[in-house]
Amino acid sequence: MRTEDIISKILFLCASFSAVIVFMITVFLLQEGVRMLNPSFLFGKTWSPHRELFGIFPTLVGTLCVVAGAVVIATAIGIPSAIFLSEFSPFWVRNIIKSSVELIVGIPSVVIGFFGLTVLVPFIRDNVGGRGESILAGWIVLAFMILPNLITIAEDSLRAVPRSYREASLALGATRWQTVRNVVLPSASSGIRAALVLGVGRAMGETMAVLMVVGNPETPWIPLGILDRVRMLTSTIAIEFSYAEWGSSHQYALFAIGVVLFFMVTALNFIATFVIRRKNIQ
Amino acid sequence: MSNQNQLITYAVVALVIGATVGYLAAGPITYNKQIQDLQNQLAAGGEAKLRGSLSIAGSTTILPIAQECANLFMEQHLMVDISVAGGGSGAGVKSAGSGEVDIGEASRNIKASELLSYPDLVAFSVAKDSVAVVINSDNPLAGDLDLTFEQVSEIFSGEITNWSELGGPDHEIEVYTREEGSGTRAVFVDYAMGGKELAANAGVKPSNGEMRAAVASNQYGIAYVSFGYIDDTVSAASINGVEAVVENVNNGQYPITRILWMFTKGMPDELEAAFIEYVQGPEGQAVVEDLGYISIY
Repeated sequence: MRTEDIISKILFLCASFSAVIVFMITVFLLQEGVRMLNPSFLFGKTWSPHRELFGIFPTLVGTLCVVAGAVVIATAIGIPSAIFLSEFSPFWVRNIIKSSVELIVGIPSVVIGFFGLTVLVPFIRDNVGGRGESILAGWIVLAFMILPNLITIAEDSLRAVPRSYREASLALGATRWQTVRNVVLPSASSGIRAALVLGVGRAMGETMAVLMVVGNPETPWIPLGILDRVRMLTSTIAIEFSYAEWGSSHQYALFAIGVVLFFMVTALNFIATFVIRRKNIQ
Repeated sequence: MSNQNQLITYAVVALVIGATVGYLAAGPITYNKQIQDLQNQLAAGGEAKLRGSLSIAGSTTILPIAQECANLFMEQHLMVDISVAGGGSGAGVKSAGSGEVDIGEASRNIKASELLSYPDLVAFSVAKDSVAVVINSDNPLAGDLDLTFEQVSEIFSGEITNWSELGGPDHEIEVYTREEGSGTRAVFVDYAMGGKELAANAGVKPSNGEMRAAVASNQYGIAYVSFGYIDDTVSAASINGVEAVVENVNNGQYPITRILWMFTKGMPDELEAAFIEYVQGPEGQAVVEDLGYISIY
């Protein structure tokens, strides 16, 4: 009984560790960043630290454009892939595809960014137009980066649907595709949605790879087309934090960007959990 | 199935044995080599009294000098370990001032605001340098481009936007700039921009290397880099009819010069002083000249 107690305490300590860290990060971020959080920060149109102008609106819009497009592309490729892998693929094909998809996770993001910069950007410049560095390049690079998690999680949730559901549907005379569409997909929908949310979160937080291909204009503007260049919130922190002087409003503005990112991802998680729960109750 | 498991077990066992044998064989060899190096060094009258580690960060202009000098210095002082990173001049001042690194570097003079934040920085000049405007070597204007500061400021502020206005092809000029913390940017803006703001649509690149790479891969690009980064992949423009070469900086004709600095927080300790003296000394200055920068003497 005594060892039992000790073990449960140790387990509790481990479990509370990440909660404590998250709490500390939140407090720290708010403390440093909240003084800059005001309407002229959120909706200001010019980001130019040497003129003491800290408006993140164009950067925010740019970030959302890149993330949204990347998630759409990743979903359009990822969900069908997951359906194929779990429902239609022969065993050996699945093995090959799954292991190559899992390999993508192991590629460091700078390497993907470097590939984007040296291959994708010139390709877009020569064949699509503009400077090459663009929202489009950001979409492709980010979609590639969130694809593996999306496929893996979506496939897992499809495979978690009990065999008996499929058998019942097939026994009623439904074809394989009808079974997938009407039985398997609805049962797995909460898992698939979770996969999407994780993808959005990952895309929002990604820094290095996307920094290298979206162009980072000197003073970002609100993008008007997919060949426009944008800045990401994360890249702004990554580039500027190293030289923002301690205690300057520039540094607090960068912390405030951190707060904005944090709240966007947190809000997303809450919405997703809420949607998933409601679906399950129904 | 059990056959497969057996196979895997054998493979794992073989790997472990192989790795162990390899480690045991290689360990003493590298260890012996280090001792031998040290003995050779002592026999040759070298010093082994310096020991410890140094971290250096800051200006990407000075990065190649620091890297090469660190390698040579570590060859002579085996007990010393030096790590060199970039980050930009602003980061160099900030990280030296706050004690994050031992030696910071800046390719511009320290700003008044920085001196207020970090009053105990001590500066050492390690080289001289200049800043050149570079374009792609496949640009039809490559080799012939001659600009005045007036034109440079108009290009980089976005008033001249097409190469045809400079006698080149009818295509948009694609401007690249460094981030605000960059010393190269500060010097460039001071000399050439005449109080104008850099173009809003200029692409920001966070290092000299990336500026050069951006122009090298973009036929219509234009950027500014440290003299140490000029190579065959880009073509430097003349300023006021003066070619961007080291000789013209030395004889005072090329209009931009700057001093490259290293900083310590307070007076340098023994190891920091030894390294800075090495960079300032004959061997360090030979590296400086080899890499395309200008000696302080």
